[in-house]
Amino acid sequence: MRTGASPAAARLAAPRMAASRLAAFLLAALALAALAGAQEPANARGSSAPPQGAFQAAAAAPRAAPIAIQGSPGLRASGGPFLPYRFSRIAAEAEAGFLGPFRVFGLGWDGGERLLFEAQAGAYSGVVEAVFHLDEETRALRVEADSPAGPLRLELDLAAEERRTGGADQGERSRRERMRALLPPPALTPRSVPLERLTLSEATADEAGRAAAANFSPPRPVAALALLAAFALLAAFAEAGAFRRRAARGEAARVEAARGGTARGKAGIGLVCAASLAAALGAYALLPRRALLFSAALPAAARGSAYSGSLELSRESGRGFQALRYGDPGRGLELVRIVTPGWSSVPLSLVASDKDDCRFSEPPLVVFREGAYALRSGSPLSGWVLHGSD
Amino acid sequence: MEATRFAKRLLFFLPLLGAAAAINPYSGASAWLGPGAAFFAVATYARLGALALGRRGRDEALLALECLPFLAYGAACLGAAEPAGLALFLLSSLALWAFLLSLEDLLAPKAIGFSLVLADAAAFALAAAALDRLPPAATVGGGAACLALSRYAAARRRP
Repeated sequence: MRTGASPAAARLAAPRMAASRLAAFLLAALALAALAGAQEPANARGSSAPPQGAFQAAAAAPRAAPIAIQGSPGLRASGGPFLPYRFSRIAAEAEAGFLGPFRVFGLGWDGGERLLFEAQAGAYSGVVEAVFHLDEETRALRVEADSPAGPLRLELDLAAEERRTGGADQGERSRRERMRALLPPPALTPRSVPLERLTLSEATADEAGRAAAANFSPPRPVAALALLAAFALLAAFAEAGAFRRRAARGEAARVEAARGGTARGKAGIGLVCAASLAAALGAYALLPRRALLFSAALPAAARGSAYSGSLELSRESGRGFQALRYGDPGRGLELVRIVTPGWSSVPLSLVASDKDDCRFSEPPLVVFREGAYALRSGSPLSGWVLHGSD
Repeated sequence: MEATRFAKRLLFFLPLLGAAAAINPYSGASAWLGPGAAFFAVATYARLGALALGRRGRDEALLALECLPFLAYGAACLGAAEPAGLALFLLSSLALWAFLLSLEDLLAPKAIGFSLVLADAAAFALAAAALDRLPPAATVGGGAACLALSRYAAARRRP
């Protein structure tokens, strides 16, 4: 009967026991880490949900005279003043917390509605701060959000709010008049390659904007198109080669191969599948997907004289976007064009601040992405930004 | 004859290449058109091409498969920009496309002609609307189930 291990066996067993204990410890640590991760809020695990802290960090100082708005039970908000041609903020607070999509819609005078802000609220975010751009076409705002207690909704009639506060004063009226006169230039066919130095000698902002916009040329997907052309050539060569081989083997072989009954026929089908799939993957991989920001800060706008001068092109790249900017960005009157394919976006901080007046070709969508506000638009977005108007 | 085959096939691809050159991710076309539009255009064109080149059955399916890179390019330009979204879209498209071709083979195995192409185009338009409006899981699952059913029916009918 065995009562115990020999000293030699014990010596051999000791490292094994140590290793098994180490493994058990590592497993326990991993399990604990997983448990801790499960208890952590979704925000902290890198989800797209905007945490309250991140919103607060991204927010600028609150504007004067915020308006308190009461929505559906358990939802209240404050923000404003909501001025046209400005980026406005609204801070919404839900008693049960927000969970899921948080959207702000602009309701137009024509009855239409536009999505102005969108974010994914993380696990039970208490406060969400939305940033959005308003123009004079927007009559009212509607906030729609989800919470664990159910859907939440809030509406604010901007026109009624302005009437309640006595309407726009003379300064505000002249500011709106000035912005109304700034029409974003239409998207004309741009040059294939933008000029490295842009020389302007135009009398009006409209003319200068058209001259600058001619250089806002997004890159062509040349590599992806070349790959598709190569695939087409290869398919045509393969077709001709297959025909030659069939002709050499006779009609019976042709029919058999067409049915895929022979090993050669099946291999041919497999080859077509593989080549098509590879070409599809290649074309997708070679397709440019970065958001683009073009801008031109007009040289003499601040002096009120003709827009003449020379503007150097500077390039700036960031995560998921590229900026091509003429002149000194962030000063005077600046023409911008934003193109955001897919889910890409341009950081809002690169385009405008709270104090800037902006007029866009259509209301842009502001999203909260990777801890910052960003602009996104389905179609190319043009606009004028008058910096530091306050 | 070889040169004719080569030229015919190259001519078949030229309009697809032209369409690909006309749209790009920065054109803003995704504001008005969804990836379903790319499916409709490519599938209808492939069907027309099959009619012109005299392809039926397996040959037609292979011709459709050769249009896959153009479909992927078009869908990526028209909104299916994320890899997972594009993969699901392509899977859904292939399942629906194969189902419609299989159904055509089942219902009208000997038929050929322009009226059949028109009927196919209407079916492709419905499929395109489904691709743009329904969730990807529904189109992948629905397409695959319909394809399996049609193949089963074809197998039962075969002597």
